[in-house]
Amino acid sequence: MAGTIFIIVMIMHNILKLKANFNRFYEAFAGLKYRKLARLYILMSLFFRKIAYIAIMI
Amino acid sequence: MTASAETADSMSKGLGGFGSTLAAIIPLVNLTAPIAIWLIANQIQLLSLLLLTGAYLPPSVLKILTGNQFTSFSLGSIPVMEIPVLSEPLKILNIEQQDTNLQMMGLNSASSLTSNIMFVISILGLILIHLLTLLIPKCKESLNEDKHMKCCRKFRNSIDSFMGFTVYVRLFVESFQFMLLSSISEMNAMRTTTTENMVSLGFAILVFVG
Repeated sequence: MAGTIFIIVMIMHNILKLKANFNRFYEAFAGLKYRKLARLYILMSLFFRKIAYIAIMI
Repeated sequence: MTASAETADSMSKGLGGFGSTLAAIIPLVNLTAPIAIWLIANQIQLLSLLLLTGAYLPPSVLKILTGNQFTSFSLGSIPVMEIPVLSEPLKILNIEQQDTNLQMMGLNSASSLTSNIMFVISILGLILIHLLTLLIPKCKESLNEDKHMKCCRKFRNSIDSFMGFTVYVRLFVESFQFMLLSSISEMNAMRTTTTENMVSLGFAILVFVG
């Protein structure tokens, strides 16, 4: 169970990280709006990472 | 292989594949190499945590995970317990490692304090090297300096450039993986029976939060 939760959460973490990096890329062309979005995605990915740690400890 | 084992095999392989694809795509998007190094280190670190979930891991996945010992700063080959000054306190703090997979990853002791002592010694050694280079006097007039001063400056510059990439980046990336694994494994076990265990657990929490 912990392994399944861990893998699902890590995939979510990676997807959010990918989105954050795409937004950083857009920022170069389209401005500050995408920088804020990138930060939001990074924060969300870190949140998922913390859930993964909790899944291991439980 | 049973159906659940096949699912675990495909899921863990999928996670690894996804991570490496991500590490390949993101540098193309951002056009910078350090992000790729950071992502690969991050993915290896997360994959190594799979060992702590207690889930079934197929032999091929285990082989990959335990092969990551090469990239973690464990220095398990150095017999720390036999160093005269350190042996006594380390023997008190040491907790025997029961998990063979973690042992294969280089985590010879269940205590994170004992496992990371070589990392602490390495940092102290690096500080000592830098203090020694400070003893070499700075030469302000580069044009009029004699041969000895030129040699000293060259030595100092070469140490700085060597430390920058070969030591610091590598030390940081490798210890980044190993420290999280050791601290989470100890927090997962949560041994609070003796004072020594409590001290080691406190160190693990400190490493995890830091």
